[in-house]
Amino acid sequence: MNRTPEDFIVKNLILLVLYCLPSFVLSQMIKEQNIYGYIDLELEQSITDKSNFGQPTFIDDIAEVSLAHVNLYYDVKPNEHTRALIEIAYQTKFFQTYSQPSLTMDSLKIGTLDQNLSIAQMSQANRITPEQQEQLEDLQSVLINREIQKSSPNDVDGGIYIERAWFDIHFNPLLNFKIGRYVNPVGIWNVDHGSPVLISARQPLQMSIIGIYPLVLEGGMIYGSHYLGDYELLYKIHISSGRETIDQRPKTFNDLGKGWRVQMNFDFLDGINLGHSGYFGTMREASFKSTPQVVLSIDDANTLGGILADGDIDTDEYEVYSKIIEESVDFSDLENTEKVSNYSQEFVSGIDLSIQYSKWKFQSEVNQQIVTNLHKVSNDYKKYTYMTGIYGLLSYEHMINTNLAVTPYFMAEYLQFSLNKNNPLASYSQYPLKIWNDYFVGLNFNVWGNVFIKTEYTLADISLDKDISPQYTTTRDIQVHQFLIQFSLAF
Amino acid sequence: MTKLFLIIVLLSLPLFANEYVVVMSKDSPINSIEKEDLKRLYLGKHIHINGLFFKVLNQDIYKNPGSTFIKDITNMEPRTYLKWWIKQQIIGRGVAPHVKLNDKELIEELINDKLNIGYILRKSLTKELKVINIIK
Repeated sequence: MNRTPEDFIVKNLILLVLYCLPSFVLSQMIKEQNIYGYIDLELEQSITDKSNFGQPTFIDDIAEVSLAHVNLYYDVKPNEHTRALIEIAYQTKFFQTYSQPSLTMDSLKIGTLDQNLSIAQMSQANRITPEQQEQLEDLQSVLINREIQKSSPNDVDGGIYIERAWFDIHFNPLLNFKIGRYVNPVGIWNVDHGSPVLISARQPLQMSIIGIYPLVLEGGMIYGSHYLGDYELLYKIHISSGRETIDQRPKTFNDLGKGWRVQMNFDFLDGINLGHSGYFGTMREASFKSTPQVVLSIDDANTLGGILADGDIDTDEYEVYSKIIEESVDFSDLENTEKVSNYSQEFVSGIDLSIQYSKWKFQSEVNQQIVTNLHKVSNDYKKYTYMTGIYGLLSYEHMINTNLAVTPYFMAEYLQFSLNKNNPLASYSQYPLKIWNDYFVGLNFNVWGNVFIKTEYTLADISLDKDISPQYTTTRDIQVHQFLIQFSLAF
Repeated sequence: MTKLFLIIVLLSLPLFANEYVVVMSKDSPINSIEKEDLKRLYLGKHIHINGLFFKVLNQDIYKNPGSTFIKDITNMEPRTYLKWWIKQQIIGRGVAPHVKLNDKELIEELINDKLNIGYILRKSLTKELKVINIIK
């Protein structure tokens, strides 16, 4: 069953009550409790260099001012051996880190009514060539999927939710337990994800909209640390319900997510941290097996035939084509469609490094996700796809006076996708992504330690895989420019 | 020469009076602490040392003795120290040490629990407290 935004809010409200009630009772006898948090506001302008296959659904041209985050922490220590943390978050937009229900491509049918023609009939009537028919149907699939995404119940604008709710049991530095909903302890910037903590205004995409790892998990963790002279060794082992996505709750013990992290903090320079993270999990994306009908009028069919006559579609022709298809798709049957489940296993691993030397900071993470299709009825059974993400950040903190510092920074990120048609995680984009490069440059002003003003320019350069989707051979890469000013305050 | 010595001692007294000392309740089980352990406590890297759970108390880090103490122990400026703790709190690692605005408040808190640790001006020492030696 798909979760609607209302389900999502209700679930979180129930969780909130479940966690708050015991906390309230405990508060009568606790030793220590604290409330703190942060708030940030953003001015954002995004401009996309439109490609000739149109505007991707996951990138919008935006010019807006928004209250991006309000995160409130309630931190209680009933005694020295236990601690609970509840983080209530408001977010203007939810990242689509989970995959959307996607249309099963091979189930598309082009319908006809009366004198109107389907694309297939256009082909049969020799109005278009078989290659043009294939090209047309592929583009049509993209458009239909885009329409489904637009109407998806998971396309939530934002709201209040529980980011974290866990309690810790401390025995000694070597052995501690964490139980509840926690941020997946992978890499550097999945854990360090609040705006006052990040040097840049935006996290690398692999830690945000791509979600190469599950970002938040519900389960239990064993963790600890040990000092080897001046070096600190940290470890974390956890088991959880896995990726929080549509219809992906585990059904058997084997479906549970399992992860680990080891980190070594060296006392060289002003601190060198080296870490390794890993995660096993399963993905059972639900997909619609539906038959939305595309019904073309004779006039529209003639127009499309004319567009395809020269064997190429330019930008203007694409706009006309898009409009015709969008107006011709009949979604009336979609609500009654049958769903089929996919079953994939994912393995994500990565290494990370951060080096602090005087005012300089360098940090980098390399992560790779391998998804193996274990859905026995699928043509892709036991085939795998992968996604690799690398980013590096360099910054220099310049103290202007004791209360003010400015930190120029530069960050570059490289994402590579392989055969992403088979990767449920990559289906937030209906396009066959191949390479996604991002370049971030900005200034981070810190006043009094708790006020941050960041100005940032980002260039995203997206290439499509033209080998697996030849219809994009004539397509230009997409470039997105983003200008951002972010104000944040920690309290 | 003797007069000169006396003058130096008398002039130094106010300086020593403004010097901070690390203190705990007189019932505290420890008499000394490694400077590195003290740093870890004030940076939240450890809450327990040798099996003992400490509660760390702080003072206003923008005023003496807070600013001096933080600089001596963690080698951080007040702004950097505050930023450090914002990060620790937001990532969920720990909560910044409780700030007591003056020596009097801090002494009351120290007396309440033998595992509370803090620092005060030497001139504010009372008989309920003991000075913890910092081993460098």
